[in-house]
Amino acid sequence: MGIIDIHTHPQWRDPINEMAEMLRVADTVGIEKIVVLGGNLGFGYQPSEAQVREINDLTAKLIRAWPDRLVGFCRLNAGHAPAFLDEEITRCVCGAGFKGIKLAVWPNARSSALDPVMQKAADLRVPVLHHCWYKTVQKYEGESDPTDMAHLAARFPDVPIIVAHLTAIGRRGVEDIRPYPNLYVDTSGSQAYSGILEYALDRLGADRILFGSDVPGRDFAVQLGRIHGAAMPDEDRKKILYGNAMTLLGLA
Amino acid sequence: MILDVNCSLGRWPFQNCGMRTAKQLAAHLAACGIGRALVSSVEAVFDPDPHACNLELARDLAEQPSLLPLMTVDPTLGHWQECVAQYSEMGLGHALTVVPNYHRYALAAPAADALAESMARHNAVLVVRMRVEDERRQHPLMKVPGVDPAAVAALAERHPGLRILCLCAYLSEVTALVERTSNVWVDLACVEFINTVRKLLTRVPARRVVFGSHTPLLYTQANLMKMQHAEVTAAERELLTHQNAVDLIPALAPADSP
Repeated sequence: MGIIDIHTHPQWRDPINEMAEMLRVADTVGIEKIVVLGGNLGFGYQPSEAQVREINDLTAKLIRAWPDRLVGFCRLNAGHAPAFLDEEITRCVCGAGFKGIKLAVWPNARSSALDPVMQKAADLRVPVLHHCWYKTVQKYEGESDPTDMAHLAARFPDVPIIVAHLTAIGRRGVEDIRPYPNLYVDTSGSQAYSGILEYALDRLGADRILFGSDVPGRDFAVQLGRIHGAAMPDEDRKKILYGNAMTLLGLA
Repeated sequence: MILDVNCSLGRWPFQNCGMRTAKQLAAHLAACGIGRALVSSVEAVFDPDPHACNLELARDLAEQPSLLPLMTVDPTLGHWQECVAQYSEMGLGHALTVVPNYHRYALAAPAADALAESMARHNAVLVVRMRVEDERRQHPLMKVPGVDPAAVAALAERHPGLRILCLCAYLSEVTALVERTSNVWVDLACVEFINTVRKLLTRVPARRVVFGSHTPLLYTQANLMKMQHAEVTAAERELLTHQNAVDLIPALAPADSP
């Protein structure tokens, strides 16, 4: 069985060679496909329209180079005009074959600015992966927490939304997202703190959890270690590492 | 055999870690292929008198030869010297640990210098826990910043005869600590980037890095896989997983070692 990593970012100083290296390391731990969410490319959390295009151009270039290994997500700043958002999603998903949309720190998921993006995701039947944390310190302007994700999920119940960073949302966050069946969670976020994966399995079930590493800031091996270190049936582990992503990405 | 310098026993109040007994911890580490481990008391982080927690830890670990107690010292307490003397008599003075940011003193404080001086005199290793958990996910009423690596480096420079082992430092902190000092070692537990160990060893000498898993707060498997998949030579692997730890704390060596 292969492994799909739903949460990675490209590096941008020498993107092709750095991605080649990332894939080489992924091979050493059996990761078959990685989802490229786009990086900040040094633009911060409120990139301009031109910067958003540049981010997505890089993702498109990478997935053209490794079409069997990489899956692209369209990185957006939902604060932009609806016409631009519509055009960029169409360009990336319909034109370049991206399989989903990535929303990061700003604006907050409760904002109506996200509505055109979510509506388009519903129309195209693609998932949205949204950054999320319960932070005590170092919180960014507009940064969404799990209650914000619940708000978004209630507004768009037909859109599968992958809440990033299970470790970062913690047990409280798991309870916040539990009532919304269109909310999934990826296993990335911080160090591999123990216990949270078992908790999420108990409260959400294995069908709503996807393996994500957040490489390159994290390490494939370490992040896989939390999946192998948590007590769970093999069947659940297979869903988390592979099956759920195959289904959500429409690859099954 | 893998030696682990970063384990603890007890109940961290903000996380359900499991492994509440020494027997469970020993069995878990053995199943992971970890031969011996240095273990501190979780409760000693919060208890007004860590000494009582240390004695309880020593009692709990007495039946588990693979687990070596690491006593926690708060040098701002009036009786710390008596405690340290007692740990020496118990054969546990080879290394002592401090959690300055939970016990609320600066490493520049006279109390920290007094402890450092005493430990250097006895050739003991001072184990500094830089953090217990990611500051961003701490309980809102329990905001405890990480230890400033510059403060550790300054302490190391003031006490060149003292060996310091820093646990749970991040990659940037590790680099800064090792570059600036010659008497600071670091564990691997919270160092992470793609291809962690290879990247780390491009920045710091293998002689200064030891394996630590931060069990049970972190999944042990995470740091085990970090090491298992590390692109290092056999000699580097031996240093990181075994030899450096024994050189620092000979009591960690398995009983049948030469």
